[in-house]
Amino acid sequence: MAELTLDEVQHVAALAYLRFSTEELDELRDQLDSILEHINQLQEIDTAAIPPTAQVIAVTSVLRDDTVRPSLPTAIALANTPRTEDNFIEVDAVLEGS
Amino acid sequence: MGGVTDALTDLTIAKARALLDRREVSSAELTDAHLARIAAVDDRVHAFLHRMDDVARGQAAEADRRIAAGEAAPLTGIPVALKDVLVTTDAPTTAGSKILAGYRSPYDATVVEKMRAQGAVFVGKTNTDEFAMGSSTENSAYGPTHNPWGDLDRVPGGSSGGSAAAVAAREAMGALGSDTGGSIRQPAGFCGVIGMKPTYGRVSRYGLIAFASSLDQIGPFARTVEDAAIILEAIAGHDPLDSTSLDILVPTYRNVLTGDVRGVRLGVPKEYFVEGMQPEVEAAVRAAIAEFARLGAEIVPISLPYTKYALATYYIIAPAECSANLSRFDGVKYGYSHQAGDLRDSYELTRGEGFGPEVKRRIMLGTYALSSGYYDAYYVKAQKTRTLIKRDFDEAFTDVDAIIAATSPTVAFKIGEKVQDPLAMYLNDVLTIPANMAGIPGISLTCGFKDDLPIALQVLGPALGEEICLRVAHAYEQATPWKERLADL
Repeated sequence: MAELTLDEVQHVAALAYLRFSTEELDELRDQLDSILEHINQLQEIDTAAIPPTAQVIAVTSVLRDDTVRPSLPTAIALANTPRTEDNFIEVDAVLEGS
Repeated sequence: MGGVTDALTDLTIAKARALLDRREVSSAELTDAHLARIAAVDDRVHAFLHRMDDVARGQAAEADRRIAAGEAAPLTGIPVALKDVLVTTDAPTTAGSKILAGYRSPYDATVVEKMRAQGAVFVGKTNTDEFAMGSSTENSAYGPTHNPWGDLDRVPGGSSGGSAAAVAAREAMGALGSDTGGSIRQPAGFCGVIGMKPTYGRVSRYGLIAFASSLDQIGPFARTVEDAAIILEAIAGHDPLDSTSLDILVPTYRNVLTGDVRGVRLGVPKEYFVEGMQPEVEAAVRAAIAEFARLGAEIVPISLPYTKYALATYYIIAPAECSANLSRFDGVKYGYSHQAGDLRDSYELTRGEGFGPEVKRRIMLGTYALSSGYYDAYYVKAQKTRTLIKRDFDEAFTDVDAIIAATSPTVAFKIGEKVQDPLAMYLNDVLTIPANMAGIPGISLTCGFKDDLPIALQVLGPALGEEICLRVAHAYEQATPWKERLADL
């Protein structure tokens, strides 16, 4: 696989909501390239007939009864929240012009 | 520090239990001895991020009342430490990250609750690589931990380096850590203590700040195999709050510590004698294999051919899962927040400033592996390779009862030695990662020394094979002198 371009690294950073300086992006590209070079050895394995493993235990679809039980009081749930108004978490506008 | 205090901090949990129950020592005395030890040595070791002296004294007083009432559980009154990725209501939880500076959880992790229910005494929260991502504890935003062995210029391993160092330095009798790719076994090995990663699902992950959810597992640190068994028994079991925890009875692990391994078939995988392994490490592991043969175990050469792909597989799966798990840190709900007046700016500046370099590197790697056009080539490919790695173990365990190998290819390296080269740092975990891929249990214990630095062996068992791991490790521990040697500090 080809080496990463700065544009690709910037694109991934935007997907991950991370911001880097130009120097950091440059260094990151080199480091990711070296890690990806190691990772690319997986391409030599024939996995055409192999099913993927997402998790290793045989437990699936665990359900519980839908019963009312106590939850955290609002004040405690919001105690670590940087910006609150009344009992709500305050955020920057999500929609243009809102 | 007086001789009595030293003696109290050198005790094993099992011996302290007997003294507490016979009322020859109180939990208050035991706790004070450990708090004094922390005050005396932790400025050099830096195992702790948050001390819990007041909480500990309160718990000790309560433990003494419980012991007097004849209601002691195995950990009642025992001073222990908690890795700072386990949320606690009565101390901050930072996961070694700036983004969680000052964070106070509104609830306890299930393992914390279980330890509390037993009456354990919490002396503090231990240092960790940021969000458990690292092999040296140097990625902590709060400064590295120093390995108590040698000249204090070595790493303790990681990511649970603080827990390993705290137990090695006798600042706590036991500790909890988490192991995603070796983060309990490798630091236990580097610090000359016992560290165990249970089977995936054996211990509830509720309240463990998530790194890679299909790999993470909480487990114990201690100075003896018996003590590790006591802690594991306290924390294992089904939890309705973690749907990946297994609803299977927890055995009395201490009952399997017979010292007898006659007839046990121990597999020795040739792939685990890797290139770059220090000759002293290889010699110590081979000597341990000979010791097992002398004890009557059958040594069976085996092959785990996909071992060499485990590291590459891990560095797709773990970053992919972490990139999803760490998306919750957005500066909105809790934690560090840079308010920029614009949503994207706020997100990017909060995360850019709050996360350290290694965490950002892994989020980037994981986001790339999951991104459109690369998902099949990287993520699905890694999941398929994971199947092959797991099949290697499944096949091996049809023939052998347990597998023995070195925990790490080298002894503890120097602080600063590998920080500039992420791949060299990752290679440190080449022998511990495969067990996480397969979800199987493993225990690490000392099998020798290179100068004054511990060398470690790991015993891997099949899924839910904690008992055979403990039994094999215990038999070796009883037959060898290593556990008598304590870090000189």
